[in-house]
Amino acid sequence: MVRDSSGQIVGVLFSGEDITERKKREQKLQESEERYKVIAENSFSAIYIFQDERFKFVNSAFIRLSGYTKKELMSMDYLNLIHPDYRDMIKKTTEQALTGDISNLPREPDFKVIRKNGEIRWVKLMPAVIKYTGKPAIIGNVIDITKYNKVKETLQKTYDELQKTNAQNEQLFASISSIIISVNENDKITQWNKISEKTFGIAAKNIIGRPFHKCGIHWEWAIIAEGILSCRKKKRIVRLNDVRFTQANGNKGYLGITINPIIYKTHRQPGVLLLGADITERRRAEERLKQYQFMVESAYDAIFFKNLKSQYVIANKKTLEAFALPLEKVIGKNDYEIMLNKEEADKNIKDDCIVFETGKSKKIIKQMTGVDGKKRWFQTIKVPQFDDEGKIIGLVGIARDITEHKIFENLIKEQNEQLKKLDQMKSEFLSTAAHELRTPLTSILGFSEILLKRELDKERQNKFLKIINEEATSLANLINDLLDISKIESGQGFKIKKAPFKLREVIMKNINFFKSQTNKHNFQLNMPGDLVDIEINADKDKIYQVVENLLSNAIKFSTQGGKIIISVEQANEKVKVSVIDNGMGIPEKDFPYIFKKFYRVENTLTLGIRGTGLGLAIAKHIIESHGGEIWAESKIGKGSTFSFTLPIHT
Amino acid sequence: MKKILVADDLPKIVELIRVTLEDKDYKIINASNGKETLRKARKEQPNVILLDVVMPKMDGFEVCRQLKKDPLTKEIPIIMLTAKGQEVDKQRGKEVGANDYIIKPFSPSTLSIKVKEILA
Repeated sequence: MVRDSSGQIVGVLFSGEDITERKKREQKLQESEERYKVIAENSFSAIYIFQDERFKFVNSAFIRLSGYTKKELMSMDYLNLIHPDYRDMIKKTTEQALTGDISNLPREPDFKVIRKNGEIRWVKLMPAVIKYTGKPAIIGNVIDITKYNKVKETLQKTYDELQKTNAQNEQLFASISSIIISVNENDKITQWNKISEKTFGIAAKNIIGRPFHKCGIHWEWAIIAEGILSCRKKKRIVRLNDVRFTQANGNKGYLGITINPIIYKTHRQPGVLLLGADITERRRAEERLKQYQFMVESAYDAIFFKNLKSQYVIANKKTLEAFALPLEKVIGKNDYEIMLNKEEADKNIKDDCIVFETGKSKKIIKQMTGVDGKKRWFQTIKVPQFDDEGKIIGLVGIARDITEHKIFENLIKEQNEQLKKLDQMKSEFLSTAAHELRTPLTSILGFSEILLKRELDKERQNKFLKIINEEATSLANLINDLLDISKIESGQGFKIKKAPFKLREVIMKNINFFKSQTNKHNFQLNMPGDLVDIEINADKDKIYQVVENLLSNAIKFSTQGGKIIISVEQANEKVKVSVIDNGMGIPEKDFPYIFKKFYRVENTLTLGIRGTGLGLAIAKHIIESHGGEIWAESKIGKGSTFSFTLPIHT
Repeated sequence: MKKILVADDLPKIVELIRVTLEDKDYKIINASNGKETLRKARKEQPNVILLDVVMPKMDGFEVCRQLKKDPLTKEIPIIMLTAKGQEVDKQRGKEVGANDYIIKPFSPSTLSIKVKEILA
């Protein structure tokens, strides 16, 4: 329409232009844009176009990444999507880019974005500057790299941990007190720790990389080589004990080694890790322990260890023998549970308690009931045992069966007593013998001096001479007794001159003699008629001596007078002669000794009964020399009977 | 007349002493055991006692000890006349208060002199 100056329409003007080409171009462009839009829309990457502080285009991937609606995105401040840490950087680079300066535009910058729900995501941005609606715009391709970063973070952490573990392993490797030797699949030494250096005296720098079999260690290589072979073959740990080797100081020692397979995926043959220790000291200690064990086990004494509950913890063979129980019935048990005699068990445990309370050793000698039920003597020492802090933990007991020793000791004691008594008897005998010698000598010397110095009538002369003669005879008898006992003592004995004689004659001769000596006593001979003429084949003088001794004793021990009966009987092939008095009798305690030489019944001295203590010992010897027996029976205050037998036909 | 108590259980020894001292003006009294000696000493108050050791009922040492303890008899001189001739016996004699100790066998003349001395 064409208007005039007043604005009135005055005409219509047509003008035309051929726009076919333009329209074609526009359509082509539109088609191309549509294609890109479709591609962008359906891309897995978040794509946006940014211009004039606003998003001009966002695809559905971008909408999903941001969590906002398309509408919200198109109207929001884009910086709200950016994590505060990166806002400045993004703002600055965006502004620069939009001015056309893309020199500072970071290539594929990684930064964090904040989703609508506040969730933070790592993104990688691939930006480019384009013309959009004729003006510069930024087209960005955003990739969510959160998962990738998480994996990266985890990897980093793992790496850090690995680094740390490696450091720790290094430390551990250095600090471990075992020998550590690594040998790779090619038999080269790859690890050689400080302990290995110390043990073998070879520095790591001199050995790492060398073939293991030529490493220069003096050890039982054949055993180790076989161990390595077995380890590699079975891919299992091989343990080697007591491998002999030469220590760094040149001494011989022992190693304990485990050979561990190191299996590589890439290698056919495993490497090996040798872990070892110098066990020389331990082995020596074990040897010593074995020796101690052997000592304890083979000891003559019962040796045991008890804990504070008095339970047996260790018990050697002898201890078990003493209880006649196997080890399992002793270990862990106390004496109440083991011993049959509960009183003895109680005593044992009380002794243990004293040791535990005082902390001091205790020596005990006591009788215990043996397994055979018999009492046996034991000498036990119980020694307290302490731990490193000085706390008492139990006791060690050593018990010795001293029964034989005790019997021997008692025997010695008894023998000593007997020797002492014998010695005393000998002293008394000497004194008595001297006395008995002096007494007749007194009469002999005294009366002979009187006879020599005085003029006496015939009657007195004869009387004194008779006394001298009697006393000289008595002296001679005493000397004979002494000689007899001397012969018995020397083991020589008597010479028995046997000849047949009538026993009655010998007895009567004695009776008559003693009748002449004492008028206080009555003598009675009881001899059955058929024995009156009995003859015995013996030494007449010696048998006379025996009867004389028995009659003399009967008289001496019945000082008040009384009846002395001589009884003769026949018993089987023997004749028995008994001399019976009704005197003071012999105390029972003296009975075992009355036929021993020098022995005198205790009260004889105080009673003034003379004698040497030889008569009965000689009589016993004489009778036994004839194959007979002699014995005595007596009751205090009632009298004594001394009897002897002699074979009739000998 | 001086009284002498001879304490000995052996008649032959008593006889010997009697004969030894018979020509002197002494009266000889005899005791044949320890207890009799104590009794006779108290009763007879002898001028001297010749005392044997080995006697029935009580030995001479004990007799001597008791006599020397008894005011009635303690002044009576006692000569131990014994066959117990060991030093220990002599020592014991001294301990129980014996005035002299003669060991058997003795010489009659020596005994006679000793008795004479002690009675002087």
